[in-house]
Amino acid sequence: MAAASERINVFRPRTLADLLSLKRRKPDVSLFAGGTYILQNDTGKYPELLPAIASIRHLDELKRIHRTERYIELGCCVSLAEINRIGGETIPDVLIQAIRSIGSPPVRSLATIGGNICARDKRLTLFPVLLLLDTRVELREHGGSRWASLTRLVDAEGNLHISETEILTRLRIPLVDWNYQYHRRLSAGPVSDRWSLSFCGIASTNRGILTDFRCIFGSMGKVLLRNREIEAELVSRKVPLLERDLSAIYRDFEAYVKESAPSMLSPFQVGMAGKMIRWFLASLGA
Amino acid sequence: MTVSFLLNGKSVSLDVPPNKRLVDVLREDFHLEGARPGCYAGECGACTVFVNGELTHSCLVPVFAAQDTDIITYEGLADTQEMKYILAGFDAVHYHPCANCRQSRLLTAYALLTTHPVPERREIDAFFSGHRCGCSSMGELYTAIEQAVDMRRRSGRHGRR
Ligand SMILES: Cc1cc2nc3c(=O)[nH]c(=O)nc-3n(C[C@H](O)[C@H](O)[C@H](O)COP(=O)(O)OP(=O)(O)OC[C@H]3O[C@@H](n4cnc5c(N)ncnc54)[C@H](O)[C@@H]3O)c2cc1C
Ligand code: FES
Ligand code: FES
Repeated sequence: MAAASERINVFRPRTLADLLSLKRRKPDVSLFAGGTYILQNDTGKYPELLPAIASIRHLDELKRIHRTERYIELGCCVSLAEINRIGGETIPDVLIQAIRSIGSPPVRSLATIGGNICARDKRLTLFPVLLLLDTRVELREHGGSRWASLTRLVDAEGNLHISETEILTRLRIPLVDWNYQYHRRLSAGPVSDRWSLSFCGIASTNRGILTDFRCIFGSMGKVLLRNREIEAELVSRKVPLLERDLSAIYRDFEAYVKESAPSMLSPFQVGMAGKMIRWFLASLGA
Repeated sequence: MTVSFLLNGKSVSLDVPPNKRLVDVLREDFHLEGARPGCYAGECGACTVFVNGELTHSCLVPVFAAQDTDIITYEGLADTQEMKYILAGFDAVHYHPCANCRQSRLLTAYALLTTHPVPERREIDAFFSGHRCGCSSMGELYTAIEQAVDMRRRSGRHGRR
């Protein structure tokens, strides 16, 4: 169990430039945003923290929100509570639905959107949702920066490709008029459902035709389950979909889930996932 | 390390290990015992305080992260008129949360009623979703909150809705 420690070195940069130069001088300094992921499994009286920490949540430059007609930009330290307050009129509603499924208001007042994306060992609840929405993120390090789409930041095993010296500073979420947006946690049972399977589906229709369709499962570890072939096959179909098409998609999807994540999902979860897709597809145009 | 913040309206500073949790700092260094350590995991809600105007689980805040924040505990609001209505509402319907949760629930009720003067049940649910309770029902809580709203209404201080 960790004890009271004066040996933890806490840095409190005054600006983003200070933070970037601190990371250059001391690459092993770890970032502490809301701290709710860092602390969440540590229930000792004194939490065990890494020896060098940079506290970043107070930096105004990382809390900015900027909206244009085409996208909304969120600083990495915007809290989940703040995004929830802005609401589904301004921000894609599916993101708001996902945020409301995380912890409780006193957790969301600390938790940041950047911290949700940057957890190394798990793809947390917002990652698949933001990925589906084609979110791009700005990554900065001293002397350089790059923009990358979330799709490119994860490999097939779900590993995150953000280097230890990079800081995720901003996210840019395109604003598209999705007619259907749905997020749902599929609880594994009566125990805590914090890391249970989650479903996210978005779709657009125009005059009875499906013009875009995307869906993804996440939250149970590193791997995200998304099958772009099934998605592409559905686009340009008439909605509501026919019963026999729904059954065929259900079968394809179940086979895909069983093949891609055989040990990760229980048979109950595979069944729930299939039903979720079927329900979402059946709701389109209905 | 030295950490400074506003505590119930007063500037305070203390030398403290950076990984001490805010809930323990409030209790052990400032003798403010309204916030209590329960689960240390952000789940029970017993440690709730306001940080920069937002309800926050103080067990999830290592004290270094409280630097320059504005913290209000139950004790800072106990004498306000709004808290008196809440207390009277709770008493009138014999809603008595356990000793571990009492003050944090009163604080949450305060946050609820200052932002939603006449709250709907789903708003009560949302605000209290940060409290885990094994001893009372949501029905009792709804009645207590509705009673507090009623007390305020009868005193002539109507909500804004
Ligand atoms: C009771 C409870 C319930 C929870 N339920 C859920 C849930 O259902 N779903 C869920 O997804 N999460 C959940 N969480 C975890 C957590 O609250 C969220 O994931 C939160 O969004 C993490 O953000 P943070 O700011 O607290 O991250 P932190 O804990 O500060 O950081 C997380 C990681 O990201 C790194 N990091 C942070 N910001 C940056 C940045 N800008 N650039 C690079 N690296 C960075 C940190 O170094 C750390 O490794 C829960 C937590 C609690 C306590
Ligand atoms: S002790 Fe903080 S939520 Fe339980
Ligand atoms: S009021 Fe404390 S556990 Fe129910």
